[in-house]
This record gives sequence, C-alpha cells and structure tokens, in this order.
Amino acid sequence: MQLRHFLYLFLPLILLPVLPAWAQDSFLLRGQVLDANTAEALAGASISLKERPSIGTVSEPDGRYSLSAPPGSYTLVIRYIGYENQETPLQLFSNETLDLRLAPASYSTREVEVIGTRLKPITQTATMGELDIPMQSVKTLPVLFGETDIMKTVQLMPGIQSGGEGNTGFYVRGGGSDQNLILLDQTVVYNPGHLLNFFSVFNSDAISNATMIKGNMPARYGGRLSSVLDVELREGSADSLQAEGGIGLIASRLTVQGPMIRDKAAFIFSARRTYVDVLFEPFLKNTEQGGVPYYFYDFNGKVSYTLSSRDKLYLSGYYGKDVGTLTLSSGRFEADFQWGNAAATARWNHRFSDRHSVDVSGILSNYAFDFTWDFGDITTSVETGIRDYTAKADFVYTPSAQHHLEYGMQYTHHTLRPRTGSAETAEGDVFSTDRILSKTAHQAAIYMSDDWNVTDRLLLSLGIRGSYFAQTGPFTFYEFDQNQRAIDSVAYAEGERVKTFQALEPRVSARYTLNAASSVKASYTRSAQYLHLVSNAYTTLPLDVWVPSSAIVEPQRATQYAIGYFQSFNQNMYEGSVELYFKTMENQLEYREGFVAGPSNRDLEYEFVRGSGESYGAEFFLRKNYGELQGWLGYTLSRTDRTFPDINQVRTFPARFDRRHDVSLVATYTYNPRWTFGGSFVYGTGQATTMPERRYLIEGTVNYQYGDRNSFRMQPFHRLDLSATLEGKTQRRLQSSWTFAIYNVYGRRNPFLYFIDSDGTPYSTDTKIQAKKVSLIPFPLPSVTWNFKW
Amino acid sequence: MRLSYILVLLLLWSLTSCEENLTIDIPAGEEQLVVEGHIEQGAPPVLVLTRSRPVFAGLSPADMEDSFVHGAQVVVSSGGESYTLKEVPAAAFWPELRRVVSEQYAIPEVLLTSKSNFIFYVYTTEELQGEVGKSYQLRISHEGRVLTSSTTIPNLNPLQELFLQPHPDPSQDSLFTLFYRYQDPDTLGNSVRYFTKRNSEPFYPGYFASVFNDELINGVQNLSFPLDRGEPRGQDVDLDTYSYFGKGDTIIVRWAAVDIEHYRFWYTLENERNNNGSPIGSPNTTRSNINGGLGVWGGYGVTYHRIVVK
Repeated sequence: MQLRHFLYLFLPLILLPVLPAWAQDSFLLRGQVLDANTAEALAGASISLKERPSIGTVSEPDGRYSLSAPPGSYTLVIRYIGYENQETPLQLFSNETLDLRLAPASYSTREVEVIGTRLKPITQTATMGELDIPMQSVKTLPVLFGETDIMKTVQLMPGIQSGGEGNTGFYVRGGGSDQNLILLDQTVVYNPGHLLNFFSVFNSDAISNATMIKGNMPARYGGRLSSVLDVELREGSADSLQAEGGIGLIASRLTVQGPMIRDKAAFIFSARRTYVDVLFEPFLKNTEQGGVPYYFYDFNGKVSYTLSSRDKLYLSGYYGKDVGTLTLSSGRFEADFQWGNAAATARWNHRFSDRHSVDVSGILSNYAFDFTWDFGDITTSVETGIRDYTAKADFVYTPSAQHHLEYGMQYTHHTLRPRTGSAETAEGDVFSTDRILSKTAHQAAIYMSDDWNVTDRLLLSLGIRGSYFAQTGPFTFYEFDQNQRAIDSVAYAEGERVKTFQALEPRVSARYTLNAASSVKASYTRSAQYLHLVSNAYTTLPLDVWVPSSAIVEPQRATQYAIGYFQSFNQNMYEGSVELYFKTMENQLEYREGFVAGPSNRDLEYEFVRGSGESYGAEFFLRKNYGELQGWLGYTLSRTDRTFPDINQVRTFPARFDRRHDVSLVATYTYNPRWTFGGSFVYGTGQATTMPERRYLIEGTVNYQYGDRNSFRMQPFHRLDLSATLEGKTQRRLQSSWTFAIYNVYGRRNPFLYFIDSDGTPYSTDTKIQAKKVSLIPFPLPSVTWNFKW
Repeated sequence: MRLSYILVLLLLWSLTSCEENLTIDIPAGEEQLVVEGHIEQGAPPVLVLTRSRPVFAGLSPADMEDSFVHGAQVVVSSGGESYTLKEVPAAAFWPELRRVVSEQYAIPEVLLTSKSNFIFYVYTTEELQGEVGKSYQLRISHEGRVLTSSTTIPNLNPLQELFLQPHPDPSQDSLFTLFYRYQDPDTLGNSVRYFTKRNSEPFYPGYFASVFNDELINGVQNLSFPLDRGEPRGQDVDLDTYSYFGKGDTIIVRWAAVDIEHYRFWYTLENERNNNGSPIGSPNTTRSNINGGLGVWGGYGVTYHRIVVK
C-alpha cells in the first residue's frame, strides 16, 4: 500500500467537520489564562461557571481554554493554586473571547504549591491513562541526592514501573523501555538518562509541564508502542528579568529568564552541572584513581517571539553531555567516554482564527556515544549514535462546541549509527567493524482526530494515524551460514529503497458521563514502532543501540484495550479511578540465546530473535487534590509475558519487568506557610530473574546450568523517602527555600542483582559457592538543597 | 567485553553499592550429563564425563566422586572407523596420558599419579590418535540418554614469533608483557585457543579470554598483539601483576587451532564467567556443542612456541 492510499482512508474524517453543525444551542467562550505579573501562560487553571457547576474546563499547556454554555449571565470562577481565586461576571449571548489574568497569592511562592489542583479532573478528560504531572509535585517529593526529577515522579503513577533503584527508566503496561516516546519540546529524546540513568536529562527548573499518556495515545503521537511522556520547556517571563536556581549535594543549577524585546520576545536559559569530580578530588588525590573524573552538564534554552497577534515563534534547544575518564592499573588502561543528546526545535504558531491554528516545526535531534580506550599499546574506540531531521505541521480546529479536531503530518529522516568499533595498534594497523554501516530511513505519518461531544454525556474521541517507514541504502543484506560466514549478499545503492512498511493505527476512545461526579471510559489503541532498542542488561545503557526496521527487523505492533471507571468525591476534593487493560504486542525483540555483546562485523540485528508479548492488569488510583494534606495512592495488579520460538524452548516466560503488585503512596503536607513535608513509599513484587539451578566443572572451575528464563523472583522492593521544605523569608526580591530529604529512610537493602559466586582453586574441594545479592543504595541517604528565586 | 566492565566499575563506584551473602532456595533442576572432551594431533582422545549437581550441593571428595559418570558407552568415529573409549582413573594414567591430560585440562602432572588422592576419571583409547584436518564424531550413551557431537582438528595455524616488552613503569623493570606476531590465513573463520606455561607450572588458558577469532582481522599480515599470561581460574587475579611475566621466566605458548563451534563454547563460557555478578551481562550464555547434554567436544591443532625472558 502506498502512502497516498492512506489519504483516502482519511477522507471521512476530513469531511466530518464540514457537515452542518448542530443547531447552535450554546455559545463558546475562549481565551487564555495568564499570570497578571509576568504574562506567563498558566496551564491547568480551572475555569467554571458558578451558576452551572457542571460546566467547566481546565486551561491547556499554553494557557488557552474554551468552554461552551447555553446563553445566559454567569459568574466565571477561575482557580489556580498559588494564585488568588478570581470571579468575573460574564454575559454569554454570542461566542466570546476573554483573557483571564490571575494575581499570585501574596503569601505563596512556588515551593508551597502542592500536588493536584493543576490537574484536569480525571472524570472530565477524554483520553484514558493520561496524567498531567504537576511540576510542583515533582519539586516537593523526596528524591535521590535532592535532584528533583520528573521521570522519578512518573514512576509513582499506577501502571508505570520504575527501572530499578534510583533509575529514571520506566516500563509502561508491560512494554519495554524503548517503547516510551519521550519528547522535549516535540523533539524525541533517545537516551533520557545521565549517569547510567540515575538522573534524567530533564532539569526541573526549565520545565513548564509534562504529560504522561500510558494507554490511549492521541493520533498526533506515534512511533512508540507503550506511552508518551511529553515534556514542555517553560517560556521566559515577558516583563521582568528573573533568576532562580539551586545548590545541591552533587549538582547546581541556574535559570535566567526575562524579556528581550518588551512585549515581543522573551528568553529562558537553564544550566546544570554535577560537581562530584570537583568535590571529591582533594580526598582522592593519593589513591590510584586520583579523583572521580566524571560529570554531566546540560543546557536548556527557549526564546519566544510574538510576531503578531496571530503568530508566535519559538526556538528551543537542549544540549547535554556525560563526560568521564577512567584510569586503571597505573595507567595501563585509560579510557575516555562521553555521550549526550542535542536537540533544537523551531516552531511557528499561527492562528488562522480563534478556532483554527497550526504549529509548524523543524526539529533536529542528535544522540552520540563515544568511548575510547588505550590498553597495551592498542587504542580502541566504539561509537554509536542517531540523528533525526524532522518537519511537521500540526493543526487544531474547533469548528463548533461539539467538535475539536487535530490533524497534521510529520516527516523524519533518520540516520542511525550502529555500534561500530575500531582498534589501532602501535604499529599503525587498524581493525574495524568495516562491514557495519550507518542506516538511513524515512519515517512519515499523517493523522487526524476528533473529540466529538455526541451528546451532553457522551464524548467520542476518534483518531487515526497512518504511518510509513522506508529503509534506504547504502545497505548490504547478508545471509550467513552456520559458522556465521557470509554466504550471500544483496547490496543496495545510496538512497535505494530496501524495505518499506506502513501501518494504520486507529485510536478510539469514549467517555460516558454518568453524573457530575462519575464517568466511564473505554479505549482501543493500535500502534506501530519502527525504531527499536534491545537491551539484555538489567538497565539500559548509553551504548545501547537504536536500530531501524529493515530487511532484517520488522516493526513492532501493539493493540491495547482499556476500560475504566472514574469518580470524584466531595467536589473533586478526592478522585479515584479503576482501569483495566489488556495489551498484545507483536514482533517483540530479544537477543538470541547465547548472544555475547562483543566486537563483531555483523549488524546487531542478526542477533535478534522475534516473539510476542502480552500484558494485562488493573490499576487503582485515589488522589486527594486539595487541603493541607494532599497526595495519591496507586496500586497496580498486572502480568506481563513473552513468548519466543527461539527462547526458553518456546515456553512462555515472564518479562523481566513483570511485576504482580506495584504500590505507590505519595503525600505532601503543608504544615504552615513555611514548612512543607513530603513523602513517598513504593512497594513492588520482586524482579524476575534467571538463576542457576545446577552446576558443573569445566577445567576444574564452576559453571552453571540455568533454570527457565526469569523463573526466579528476587525479594520484593520497597522504600520510604521523606523530605521537608523550609521557605525562607522573602528579602527584597530574593525568595529562598531549603529542602532536606532522606532517600531510603529505613535503609532497605533492595536487591538490584542476584548471582552465585564461586571461589577456590581449580579441581579443589575448597571451592565455596555462595548466593549473593547486590544492593545499590542500601542505607539512608540524606541530602540538602538550597533553592532560590530572584 | 571490556567496555561493559568499565561501565560496571563506573556504576558501582560512583554510587555506593553493597554486596551481601544471601540464603535462597533454588529448585533442583534436571540433571544433565556434562562432556569435557578433546582430541589433538598425535594424541589419543580424552573425555571426562560428569553430571550436573544442584548448585549448592557440597564439593567434598565424596561429592566429587559422585559427579563422575561411570560405565557409559563412549564411541568416537572418524573416517568410517569407530573406537570405544574405556574409563581410566587418574591413578592408572600412563606418562603420555598424564602429559596430554595435564596440558588439556590445566592439571599439574603431580596430581595425576597413583600417589595423589586426586579424584579424576577419563575415557580414552590407545587405538586412536588425532590427525590434522580430520573430523571426529562422538556418541555417548548412558542409562537411556544419548549425547552426540562432532569436532575437527583444524589445520595448524602457528603464530610467527613471540617477543617481549618491558613494563611501562621503569620501577617495575622485572615485569614484561608477552607479545605475539601473527599472520592470519585469508579464509574467514580461523579460531585459536591459547595456553601459557611459566617454568614448571602447567599450561593455563588465558584468564579472561583464551580464544580469538579472525572475524575482524581476516587475512591480516604481521599483527602483533599482547598475550596475557594464563592463570588458574576460579580465583580473582592480582591486577598489579596480571598478564605479566617476570625476568628469567621460560615461557611456552600452546597455540591451538580450533573450529568455530569449539571457539564459540569457550567464547560464550568466558563471557558468562566474566560477567557473572555484573548488571550488564546477561546470564546463561554458554553455548555447548553437545546435543543432549552440556560441555564441549573439541579438537585442537596444536603448535608450541618458546621464549625466555632475559
């Protein structure tokens, strides 16, 4: 099927808004919610009609809102935590536009704002499994080393499992860690971790909001099977120069923002760097290592420029790197490594009318990993990377109160550099993986979706995405014999199409409002993924390689069904939900049994085997949105399996991240305007792992015979973290606060890894065999951070 | 892969981690027969047959005795002829068998005499001597189980020469790195396993990696590369002296051409061992070339090379 055939499939959707609108029995109110001082857009403010409590909405990430109501005179109520509540009279007898400016509450600063109220009531959103992550809750929760991290807050949501102790990686509803689409201002972030994933690339100070979608992805998102984490950078303040930042145990950060051209252009710039290397250097000078020569840094920047009342231009960028050196055995071994992401986005927002707007974006995304080491007169280097150029146009059209349409098209050119290596001897001989070449591919998609208010009670969200992927040359397809010798090959010239794939990805969901406080939702989602990352380690690594779908590897596909019941209590003081999901995944990838990650002249894809996956579960969520005590409780009961013809003798086995029970309890308590306390507790069923069952001797030393794949469970994982935030008194313009936190309060030694160790002389009877557990942070780890804003 | 190693080091040392002993119940699993058998040119086939035991079963002399499989029918065939191997305990080894077992299994020769209480049995035959370029089929049957395999003694692929370089640090001038110079035949798939012998020690295979393959260096002329000194496995090495030879050492390198399945066994086994306890390696990588069992049946095409550190 050719790309243009998709267009025909889209015709019905394109025609839909053209059909005569239903009789105008209500009018539309729209506008933007802004900070009265800085003119910064406020996302998540609640706007409702006092006289008709059932009519209300929440502002979008760019501050825009719209609601429709029968003609009449009303009082508009605007609420936003940290700001004064506002009531405005409203005469609604035609479609109206009204911008709302909120004044910050005088007693409050950012740090005492707490979880919850920025969120849309979950009974009112159309999508299932979508969670807005309030940056405030990210900042008040206790975290490792005091470095707040949005990806660690994400892990506390039901249905999302953490990648392990201190790790920012996550798994959503039984999908692999490569199945999460992670976006920073619309740029795909391929490796979102610093320091082997203990920290994410997201600097909390630079982020305005983040949305996590774990199930029914809107049609505008594509390319990943399991979830979307859409992170948006803040816009600079439009009218005054401001600075904020923090000094922590291992890193410091600084953000500066302000106007560039009054009322026209504003900027924001953030920087962050760790200084473990500097701090520890004096103490380690005389040791062999001579320091901790490792650090990471990153920069975020964004410029917004108002071209006209209808046009706005955004330029944003990210640049970050992990850099280190390592010296062992008195200099016999020396290594330098660095890896990092770079991203740049230019976005033009144009409003054709109040009802119709477009975002046109040009995006560059780059990830590179580079490792060089010297050992015994031989210099070896390993590189891998990925570079994307993307162009896209995303339209939003609201023809009537009944319809909200999104449609658009996206194109990306991928260059994927697989893991290539070369070694050079002192005599100048060079050996390299010369048969492994970068792969190129084109990916394109068109999509359309409509949120259709069929009746007052029924909202249908209909979406479809057509995606297309082509691998192009230069490429040589090899056929190998049993001895891994290439026996046949087919070569493709540069630009020549090697293999194409396309997929239709319907995304359908429905919400039925039972009454003002409860609703039922159901969804069906089909998705396709054309880029893959396979990891056989316990954690994803910077040298893990993204590979494209190709003549060797088929795209991954998934189908997800979900149904949920949503209820709010006590005027949304509490809200709760139960969601059930069932998901099947095709063309899942694993390394073949016996694969060893060593230097090779074969493309890595030849080492993959293909199978299917299945996951199902129930997710329970209860949240308290207002009051001094806020927080949530999440519980997930789930099961995730994989079945591969070439693994575990075709027997179905649990995925490594299969977790029967997963509990997160999160709370913040505002004791008074100065003190806020936060805590989180997590519990998870032990990780599935493969353990030796028997042993035998080869050349006198112990070797193992393993049990079924992932048939053994480690001890359960649980941990309590606590924090306290003290607001300083505002002096002149300087606001400051201290955050004290303890990670792993009761010193739980959570298992990271089990293994069987043997030690002894070969062929002797003195050999000892002992099971061992490795824990990463087995003791309470305190931290203190000083934050300021000026 | 060394790269993984470095990253593990980095990970473990940048964050304080802890390792502790653990008591766990592990299912007993299913017993498998384990073959450790070799044939090289000019020597009889030698095969050790044991059974896998529960992972925490003891290692007392009685347990060792228990793990040997007696009374199996072991047949090696080549070129249409079949030879039945008979079982011989270590105490009854004749000098030639003692030498071959010591070299192939890294056992000090003194242990392989009637005076030691070393518990060791092999299956062998004096009727058959290995020949370069021939292939050897193995068939073992025992209590209803049948194990089969096949291996070859590849053409000899000797290295060109050995040479030495002093330690880079002048204060360590008694230590030397051994280098070898090698020319690879231009057919792809040449693989080698090496052992080193220092003075009166047995031949020990390379500690971290004893096998090489020419996938990335096919047909290379005059490649020179360091060769780590072999050490007994099962214990941690002293990284300060690892791989070095000392002044006055007489070094003999046993350089054995192996076929690709044989290579793959050692390559995957060594990776599994090196990565045991690492968060980066996946367990269970060892690939046996025995159908119906574990272990290896591998031919060696051996050459010896000698150098004295002056």
